[in-house]
Amino acid sequence: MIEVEGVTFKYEGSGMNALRDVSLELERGKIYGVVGPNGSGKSTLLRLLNGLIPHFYRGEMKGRVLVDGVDTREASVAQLSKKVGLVFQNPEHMFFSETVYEEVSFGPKSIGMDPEEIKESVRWALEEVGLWELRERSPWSLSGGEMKRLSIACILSMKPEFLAVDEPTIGQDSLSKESLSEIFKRMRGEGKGVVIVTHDLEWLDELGPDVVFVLRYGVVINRGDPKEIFSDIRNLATNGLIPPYRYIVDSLLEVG
Amino acid sequence: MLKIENVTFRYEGSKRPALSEVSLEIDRGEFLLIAGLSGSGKSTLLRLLNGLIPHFYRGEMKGRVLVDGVDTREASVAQLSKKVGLVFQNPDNQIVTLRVDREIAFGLENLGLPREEIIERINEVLKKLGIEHLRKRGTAELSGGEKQLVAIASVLAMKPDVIVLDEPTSELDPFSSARIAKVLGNLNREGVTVVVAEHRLDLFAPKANRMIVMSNGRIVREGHPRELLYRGDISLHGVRPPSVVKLARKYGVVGAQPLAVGELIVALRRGVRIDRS
Repeated sequence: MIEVEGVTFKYEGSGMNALRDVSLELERGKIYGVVGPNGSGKSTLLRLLNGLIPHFYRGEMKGRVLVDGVDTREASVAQLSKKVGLVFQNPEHMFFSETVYEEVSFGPKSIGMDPEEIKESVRWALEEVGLWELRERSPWSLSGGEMKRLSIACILSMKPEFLAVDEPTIGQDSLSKESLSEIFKRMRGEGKGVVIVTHDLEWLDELGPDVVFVLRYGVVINRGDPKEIFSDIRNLATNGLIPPYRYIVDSLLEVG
Repeated sequence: MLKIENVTFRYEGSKRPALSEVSLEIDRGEFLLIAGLSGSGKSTLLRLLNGLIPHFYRGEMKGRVLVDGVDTREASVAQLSKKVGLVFQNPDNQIVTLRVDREIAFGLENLGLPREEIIERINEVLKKLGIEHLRKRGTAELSGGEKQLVAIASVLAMKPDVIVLDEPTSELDPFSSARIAKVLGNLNREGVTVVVAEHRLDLFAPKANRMIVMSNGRIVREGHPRELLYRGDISLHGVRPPSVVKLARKYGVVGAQPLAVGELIVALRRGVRIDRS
């Protein structure tokens, strides 16, 4: 379990708190949606979960984050990456290997997994995202959707128990979005906790998260069952979010 | 005005053609939406329209492209850019200067326009897009949506007959995306021809008067968006009808063929009223 306890964080050089007194709990076997307008603190929240904050990003932090009871300040980013994997919005900016296989092996090697285990976990990760057949290809020869799935495999190969993903559907076509949904649902089925930051409420609704958090100005202003959150279209709209169309239609019909 | 005649194009170093035997005519005043999965040939088609292919991208090209009757191979990219303006997917790749007004002036200076004319055009285009407040802002401090509007402004300032956009919203949040769609709809009503490749059919289909679907380098469907999205067989090519279409099916109001949420609501209210009477 990940417990975020009363966290306030201000980036060095910034005048405003990126997160303000945020508390939440994340369990295994569930999908969490984190939504909010630009600058609401979504990405900052993700960076807390695997210790990038405070280890990598400088700033002033109050409160604490516990990953399976361990304070992230007392664990290294390498240790935490075995528990919580973070997939960035544009990870393709970081591909550097000649083949898909090598790219996915990099993470497990760098955290010191033994060679047999690496083989096994790389194969597993590539199969999970449907890229095993393309393992000899160059990452650069892949389509946008395949690159996105490769970036997920790069994290999965380190066998994290929680997967945190930043805006996975940006720039993706409809087929790619569907395969991302399948991957995340399978992860949930395998007992992993999946945390997804997204603006794409339409897609999130189709994915079917267990819990949704709404962030604004660094504060969790709403949390709970996705149906309840999405039905409150007025609240979403005033907080800079476009509700899924079916909820807009339902609510307008009720009014009419 | 734009005519693609039986074009096949293969990028240098690639085995398969990116486009195969594509023919398309685009008339003045149209709003053409190009749908299709990533890698289906949408960007390649757009690059043909302003001569980036074959002038800039190397490869093997058959067939020809005519812009106002002139073969793009016989015109320079500079000449073509006065007729056809291209806006890229990622505004960061398009923006070259540090301040918004200078960014818009950049292309105009290269056209050799007099100073007064440049200032006038900057004013005009900022007003048209509703971004006058950004005039003196640094381009680096703009949000993604603002950057894309500035990229569109700098293309529009050249007064092209056609504005061509390659997935202009793919890096943007939903509100900024909706704003881009709205701006393009307004420009089209004012007479600008718009050609846009997009995945966000929910935002762009209501603005378009024609839509094509691409798959494996070919145009596989062509028609009015209502007609295409309600016929339902575009799913075969990986393009999914937007939610409004799915909802119209669910509620049994496909007859009205709504594309925008507002149209769906109107159709549903009418349907409800008819049922009750």
